[in-house]
Amino acid sequence: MLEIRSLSVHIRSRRGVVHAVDDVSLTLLEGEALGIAGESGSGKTTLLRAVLGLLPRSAHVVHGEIIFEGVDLLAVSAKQAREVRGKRIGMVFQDPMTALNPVMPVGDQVSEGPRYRLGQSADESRRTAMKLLTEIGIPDPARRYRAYAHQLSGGMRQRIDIAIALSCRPHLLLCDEPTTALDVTIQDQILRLLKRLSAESGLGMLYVTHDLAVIAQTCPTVAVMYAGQVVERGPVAEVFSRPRHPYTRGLLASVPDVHRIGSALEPIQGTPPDLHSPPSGCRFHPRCPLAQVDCLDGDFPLLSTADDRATACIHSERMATTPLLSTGL
Amino acid sequence: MTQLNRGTRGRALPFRSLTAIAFAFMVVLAACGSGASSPTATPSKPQRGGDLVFAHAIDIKTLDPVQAVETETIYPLDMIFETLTETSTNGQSVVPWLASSWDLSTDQLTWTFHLRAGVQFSDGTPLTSADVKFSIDRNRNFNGGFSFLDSAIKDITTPDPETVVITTKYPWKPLLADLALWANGIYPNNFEGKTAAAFFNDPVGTGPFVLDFWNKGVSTKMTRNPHYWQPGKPYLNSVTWTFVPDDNTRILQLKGGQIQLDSFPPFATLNSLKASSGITVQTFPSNLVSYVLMNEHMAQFKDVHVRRAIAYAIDDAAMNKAALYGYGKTNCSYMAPTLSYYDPQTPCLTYNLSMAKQELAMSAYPNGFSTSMLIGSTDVYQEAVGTIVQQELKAININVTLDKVDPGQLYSTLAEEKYGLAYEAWASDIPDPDEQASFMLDPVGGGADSYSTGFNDSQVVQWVHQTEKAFVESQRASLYTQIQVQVAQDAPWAVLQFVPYQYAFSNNVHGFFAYPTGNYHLQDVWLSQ
Amino acid sequence: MDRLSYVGKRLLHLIPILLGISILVFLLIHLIPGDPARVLLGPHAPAKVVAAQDKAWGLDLPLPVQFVNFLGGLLHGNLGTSLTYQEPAVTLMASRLAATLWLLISASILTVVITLPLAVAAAMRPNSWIDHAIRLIPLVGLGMPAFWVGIILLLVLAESTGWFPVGGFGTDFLSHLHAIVLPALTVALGIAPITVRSLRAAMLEVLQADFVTTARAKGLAERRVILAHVLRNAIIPAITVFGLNIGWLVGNTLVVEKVFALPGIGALMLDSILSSDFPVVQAIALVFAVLVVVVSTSTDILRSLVDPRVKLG
Ligand SMILES: Nc1ncnc2c1ncn2[C@@H]1O[C@H](COP(=O)(O)OP(=O)(O)OP(=O)(O)O)[C@@H](O)[C@H]1O
Ligand SMILES: [Mg+2]
Repeated sequence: MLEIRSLSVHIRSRRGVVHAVDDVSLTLLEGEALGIAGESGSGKTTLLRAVLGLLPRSAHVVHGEIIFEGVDLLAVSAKQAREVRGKRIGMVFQDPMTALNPVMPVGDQVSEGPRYRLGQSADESRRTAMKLLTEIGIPDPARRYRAYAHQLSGGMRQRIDIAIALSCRPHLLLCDEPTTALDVTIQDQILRLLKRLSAESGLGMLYVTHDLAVIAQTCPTVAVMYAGQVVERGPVAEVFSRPRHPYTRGLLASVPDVHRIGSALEPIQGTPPDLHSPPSGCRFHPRCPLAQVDCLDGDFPLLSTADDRATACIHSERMATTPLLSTGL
Repeated sequence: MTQLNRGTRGRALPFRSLTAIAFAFMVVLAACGSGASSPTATPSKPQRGGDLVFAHAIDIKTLDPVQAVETETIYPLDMIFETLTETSTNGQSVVPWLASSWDLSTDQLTWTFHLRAGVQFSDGTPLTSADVKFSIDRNRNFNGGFSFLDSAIKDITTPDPETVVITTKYPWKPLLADLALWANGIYPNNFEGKTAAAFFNDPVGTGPFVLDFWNKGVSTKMTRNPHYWQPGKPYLNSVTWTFVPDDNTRILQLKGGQIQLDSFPPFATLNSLKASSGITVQTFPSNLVSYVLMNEHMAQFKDVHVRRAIAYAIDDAAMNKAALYGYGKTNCSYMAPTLSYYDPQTPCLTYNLSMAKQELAMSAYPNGFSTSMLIGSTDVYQEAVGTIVQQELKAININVTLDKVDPGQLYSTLAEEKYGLAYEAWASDIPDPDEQASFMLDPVGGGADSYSTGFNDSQVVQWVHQTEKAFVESQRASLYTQIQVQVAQDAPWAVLQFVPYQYAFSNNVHGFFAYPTGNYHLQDVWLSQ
Repeated sequence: MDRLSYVGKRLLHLIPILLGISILVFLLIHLIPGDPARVLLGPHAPAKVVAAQDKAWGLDLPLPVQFVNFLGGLLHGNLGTSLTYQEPAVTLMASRLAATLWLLISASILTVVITLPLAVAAAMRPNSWIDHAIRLIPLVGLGMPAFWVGIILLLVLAESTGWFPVGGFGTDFLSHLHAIVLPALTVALGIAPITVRSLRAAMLEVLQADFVTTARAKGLAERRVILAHVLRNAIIPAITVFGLNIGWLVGNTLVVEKVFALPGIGALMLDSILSSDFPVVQAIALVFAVLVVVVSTSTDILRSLVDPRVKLG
């Protein structure tokens, strides 16, 4: 249902041009949930916003296509792009604290889509919103309807966010770290909710997070992003158990795991690159324990293999034998 | 000593710089539209009808003649209440008004007034001597205001309804002029049984107009008195005085046709107003003269040579140009040229720097001194005068600091004589030089310590008293000549300018005339279509 | 605290404020030199005439006695009688209040009418020529004193075209409305630069907010996004700025009243201060105090209506 083809997004900043998304290609099948994992600053949010057509003023798509349900969203008029938003693609944002209008009752924010996009009457849209609130598990929805964002807990707000994203019955839901700001119990509830929704309504989902455990719980497929590029992709279970990119491996090693109590965490060496002038060659090479001279130049496209996996690393076969911490160069 | 409001409350002399700039701007903007004014051929015969709107910068405060002290209050109430005598056109004598004639006894103590036949109040009741007695008695018994002008009156009797007899305590020549004062205006005996407050809310007089409404702070409307004694008058159906404090707004209202008469447009604007089509500008000779007072309670100003030096050092002609746009006239006598017995031959201490230095050399302060000059803070004109005086006195080593104060404080400071130099202006309210002479020259009898200067020349005081009892014209005239010469020599103040009254009106207003005492007769005014 | 009891509380606070102000004004006007009888009768009126007038007005009594009398009157709601008009000060003042209130209210409405479209237009295209123009033009206005703006408006829209009366207040509702347009516009043009700038800045900030992206993600029309989401949030600081400028607004009102010959409080106040008409000065000072408290209370209420996070108290 969604196919992103070699998408690149540049953001103008005071210090120059940020290569926030660089030649990213992804495919999402009807009703599928795809997890996108990556460190902070790897371009996940920018990617989602590009799909929604809501890049910040300073950002623009350099090249690429975003084919959604057969139409290239980058080629249509602003008006047509707006038609898609909300009605066919919904988005849940990263920070439930700021994603809600502080001076409008939350219920009105939920009913706004049905009212102004689906042409429902004030009463109808109110009923739609009430139904949604009940559906996403808001207790006492009639009272919550009139509440303002600051009167609700974080989990409640995120539910409202989800209700807003779903209010016009989209086919695709973009989730930008919807649970990062929440505690674990609430996070779990939200994830179950999303899973249920996608299962019940055949909703396609792009789920962005830096939390691998969340992806493991939610999505069958995962794509790992590093410095604006997708470096590995494949079924969650396989990617997480046998990563084929050193960055993926590094990510996994830096995650605390209750099953490995006692073993030290092993954070990835070095810092993420400055995307104003990303490193040449493989972008991960300055931090990579496997790096060789041939990693320093050229393109490192995501190469698919027959087992439905793909990696950008040209030395993936050495993954099993190289220790994590030593750098090759 | 009417409150002329020149430079204190509103009717300021003209030099308001911002006003001038704003006006210059307006002239530029309006330049495209207006050609030179071509005075419309005046229809010779007055037309009846029309409503006149007359804008004042100051609100009407009361309709009780006894309480009225501001010119903007006095002139309108003059249209309701009339007096036994009235100021003549040239301001030098009186003409019969509610009294059609009078006789004076040979001992010059008893005046018998014969009331004009057929005069009625606006409610139709006839005017009688009882009304006259009630009104004048009320004024002379009033504690304050202008009752002091009636202090020579001993008694008023009414032998019959048409006759009023006024007896004076001593022979008193200015009586006829005193009776022309608005405060001696006539209203019905005993206020027709009402209280004073109730009566003056709905007043009844013999004047040409009757109060329609008085909307305090906004406007006052009067309509034609159907019982008015002058046949065919007034011509106008009504007169409305509106309160428009801003000079520019009044001018714009005049140009826009919203008002027909603008009282006291700033002198700075007169030349351009004259050039506007459809508008007539007229200045009328007034009793108003401006002065720099010198406080003789201060040692320096007790010295006649210092006073003369200062009078010589001030260039009043240059000041007239700079501050009055040339609309004033330099004056030698302390008296306005409009008053009877004004002597144009009065010797002048006109601008002469070498004479000034010579006089100062003869004084006890040959090397000069420092002093201050009191001016009002709300008026740019006074500031201009102060600055000019300050600069000119520098030439004779007198250092002047300007002491700018609010009106309230200004008046107290003057009254308590806590100043060195002070700017002041004054106009006689009656068509006789006596009010001014006793006020300015007689420290005790005038009640004001000689214009709050402490000036005291016993010879002059004696002459002033003689004029009050002199019934022979030539004798009075020569006394006044002596007084004017002596005061010029004594220089209790530096005489600055003789200032006219200025009005602007639509070309369709005819017959408007301001008397030297400031009042006007709107019964003579008419509008052409 | 709910809004009604908040208003009640603020009104209760008003009582000591008013009492304090009356006492302060009483002391101020009696301590500065200037005797109303002297002002009325002129500098050279004989002292005994002035004394008689003082006595008639009760101003000959010792100051403490006058003060006690004044307080006694105040407690009975009696502010005394105008010395110059011989009419109760409260009546006098009340008769002038209408024009001032008309002016204040219509000026506020016009300010909003001017500010909203300009600020929205500027904020929607920041740094475009339209934004620069909108930010520059009012700056010119701000440099011009109110009486200038007033005269220019009178000249252009009243004297030469006859569209509006050259000053005055009219006699009935419609003529008041007709007469109030230009003066209200003058006041509004004076304050609009400030409100336009603050609203524009606030809108630019709000446009960055996440909830605006949320709104856009619903696919709402830009109009709806701006009006329902951006403006409602940006207006909150703008209301505060407007409230802070109310003193300035009132000050301008007085000048504008003079230029447009509106029979408002302004002329009465100037006149009564210059003539030391104590009771009227008192009454006006009190009205201004009430006005300021009412405006600041209304600003608070308004903010609480627009912004649910604001706590009244
Ligand atoms: N408005 C902007 N101006 C300049 N640079 C930006 C802007 N927004 C994002 N960037 C940069 O673009 C890159 C990608 O940012 P993006 O927000 O897409 O990352 P992310 O993966 O969502 O990170 P996080 O996990 O912190 O949300 C980062 O380097 C970021 O600094
Ligand atoms: Mg992000």
